[in-house]
Amino acid sequence: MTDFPLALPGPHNIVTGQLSNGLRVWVYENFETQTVSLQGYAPGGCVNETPEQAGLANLTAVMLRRGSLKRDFDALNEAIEAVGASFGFDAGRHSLSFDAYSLAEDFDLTLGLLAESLIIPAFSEDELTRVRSRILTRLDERRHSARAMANLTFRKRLYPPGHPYHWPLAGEKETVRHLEREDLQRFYQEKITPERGVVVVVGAISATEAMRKLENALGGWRHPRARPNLVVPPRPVISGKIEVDVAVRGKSQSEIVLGWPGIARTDADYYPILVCNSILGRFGLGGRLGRRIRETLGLAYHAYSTFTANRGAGSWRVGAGVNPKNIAQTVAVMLEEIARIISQPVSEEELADAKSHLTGSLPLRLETNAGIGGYLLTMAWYDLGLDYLIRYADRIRAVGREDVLRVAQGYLDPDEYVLVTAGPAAEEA
Amino acid sequence: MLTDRLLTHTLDNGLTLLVRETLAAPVASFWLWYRVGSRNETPGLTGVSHWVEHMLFKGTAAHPQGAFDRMIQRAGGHFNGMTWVDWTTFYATLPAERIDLALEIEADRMQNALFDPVEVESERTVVISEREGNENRPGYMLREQVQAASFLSHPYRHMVIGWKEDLRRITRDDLYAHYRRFYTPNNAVAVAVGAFRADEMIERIAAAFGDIPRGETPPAVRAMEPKPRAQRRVQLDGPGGAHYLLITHQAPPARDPDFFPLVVLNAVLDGATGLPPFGGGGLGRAARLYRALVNSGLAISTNASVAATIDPYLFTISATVRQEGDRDGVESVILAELERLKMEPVGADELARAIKGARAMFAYGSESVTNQAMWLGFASMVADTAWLAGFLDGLARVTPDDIQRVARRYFIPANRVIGWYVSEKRHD
Repeated sequence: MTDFPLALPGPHNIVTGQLSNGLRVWVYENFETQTVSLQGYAPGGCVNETPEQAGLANLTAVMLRRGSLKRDFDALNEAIEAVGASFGFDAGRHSLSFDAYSLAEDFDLTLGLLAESLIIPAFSEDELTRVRSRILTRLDERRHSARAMANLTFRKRLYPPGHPYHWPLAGEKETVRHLEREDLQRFYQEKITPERGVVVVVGAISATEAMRKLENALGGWRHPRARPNLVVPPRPVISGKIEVDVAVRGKSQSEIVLGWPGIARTDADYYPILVCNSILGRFGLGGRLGRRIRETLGLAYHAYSTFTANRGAGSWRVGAGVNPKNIAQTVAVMLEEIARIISQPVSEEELADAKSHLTGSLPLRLETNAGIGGYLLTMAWYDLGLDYLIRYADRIRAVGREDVLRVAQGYLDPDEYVLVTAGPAAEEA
Repeated sequence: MLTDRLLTHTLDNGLTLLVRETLAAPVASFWLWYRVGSRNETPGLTGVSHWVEHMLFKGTAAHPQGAFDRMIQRAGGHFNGMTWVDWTTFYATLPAERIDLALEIEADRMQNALFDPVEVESERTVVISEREGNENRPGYMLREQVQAASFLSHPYRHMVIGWKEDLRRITRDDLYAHYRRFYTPNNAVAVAVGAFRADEMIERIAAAFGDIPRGETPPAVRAMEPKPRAQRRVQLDGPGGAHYLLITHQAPPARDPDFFPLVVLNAVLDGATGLPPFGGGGLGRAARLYRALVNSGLAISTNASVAATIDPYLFTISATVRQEGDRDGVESVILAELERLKMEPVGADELARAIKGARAMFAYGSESVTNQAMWLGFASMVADTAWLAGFLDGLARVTPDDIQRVARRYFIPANRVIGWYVSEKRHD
């Protein structure tokens, strides 16, 4: 067996470069496979929308896949599906993301279709009408999903109106309904840019060849009127107990979300939070929360803790899906566990378990080209360094009990929080 | 191909081993598959197989509750259990040098799971909570009713999780009896794929499982679905943001000669898929259903799927329709597409796309040892590894005539259930 640390992607085997338009490129060769994964971010996302345009970044991303000036939607689908490959676009808070996956033999074709969709999109009126109608129906469905409504309402209470993270990515019916072709074209030309963007390619392709092909396909993409938006949104501040119940008719189960403002991806607290979050609601079958809420009390099938981290502060939250009659008891247990983790250091054993899992599971997460590509993209986008994966285990190992206690105390609070429940109304339950 | 360099072996106690060495990454995956699922359940005991699977995470004398998950996760692994209509499976994927932990755990809980009465009670409400989470989705509620209408007699008529009425009444003894009956080496297949020496792995599995005594042969499933004779319609009304349509036709099992033509037919309707364990649907936007329903604006999404099973199961077609949409129109367009499959031979380009797409899906899926082991084990539950080895060739041999023949055989009204979840017109 190969010596594992040397096999990790790092400065010695990730090839970096830059296209003539400023797009940074990272390539990692993996000839053990027959496929190639391409993933990228270009600056320009939800943070560039006005509140009246909520959903515009998302609609623009969806429309990029709906036809280029060379090929309409049908022709694109015919071409890509003929080789069993795929490509697509997605909107993020700060970026447009794009990705493609194909057999190595079909990389040229796949890259070509992605590039023409990205560089010369058609934004056809007919497609826009269909896509908008579909998104509006998805928003109707969202209104009838307890889980979606719990998460959406949590977001809106955590980030005040006016904060760039307040609105859901997909927008609202009232805003999406009014988005027109000109809005998409302007947003695309003026807000999305290759400058400071990144592309990673992982798979059965040589780095030299990948660089040359990317330059040919994407090097000419330029949006001279757009400047990358580098503003970091402020960390939200909450005070007191914000408690909201959302009625979603006809449901059997209520969804609970309880949470706080979190951190940016580049924050030094990232590693202690990773460890603390694992102990609180992930390790084993859901950490301390899973042990009490699921294993001991039998209140829920899923009970968890999770955090997000972006250019600006994400959230740190715990949650569960429970029978409506068990909401009060479940929330009480959650708050007890929060009170416990901020008042006493975790045990040496819990700390060792969580760290051992986080470091030991790295090879499993790097098994596929898409898995490796996902890490490389995060490393490039947040400037985490080419040696991020190589140093990862040491950074986790350096986390001590006092670090875990410090971040728990710094971010979690049983007296100040946002609590959302969504499910059957009181008269239904 | 997944079956290249595959070693197979059977222990004296009947346990079948499938072992494949791959050195692409320093990881390994171990799966233990049992031939038991909702197919083996009788009225009053629906959901018992899935609940037993849950109880296998609740400890043995040697490994008390929480010990299994802790061992695997400390070693950097991930694990889970799954129950489906024909099988139940447990797996762990680990850094290769720790894979013995998975062997130790599975050998222990094959025979020593405790089924502590206190744990049985706390898991009862967990399983009910899992079911209530499903009930929150209109698509689940529709599927449950359509499935029940699709079979008169065969146990495929109930969902794997079981009816809530049964989940409230099943006892500790019911669970334990089911466990003892089906969790035997002669009713199981162990699969290991990863960075180890295959011959050594066979010895290690033999050492871990070899002393477990053979069990009695589990009872065969007696129920055979009678020939379908009536088209049925099902309608649920409730709150929702859209209307949901689900059409089923009874379909042949994995080993039937009609199965491969139906997989290709499914790709023509909905895009290529890899191996469909639970009923794979494609994302084919160049495929017929998407063009006819979504590109036309009639529906906002659609899906077709065929599942590889032991007994005849279901070919399903679904669609999501906006609230003000034309429900009758969607239904008739789907039925017209099925008629077209009977009347016109499919084009060479559509056939080629289906084959190439399936080949690509296999290549993507094969990058992970977890997927490889899943496919090998799953194939041996519903057929055998020769079936898996011949899968891509089987698809490539399908002719336009075959597709017309199976369309004419299965897509007939007497073999059909049409189900709607109709969202109530109330705006909130």
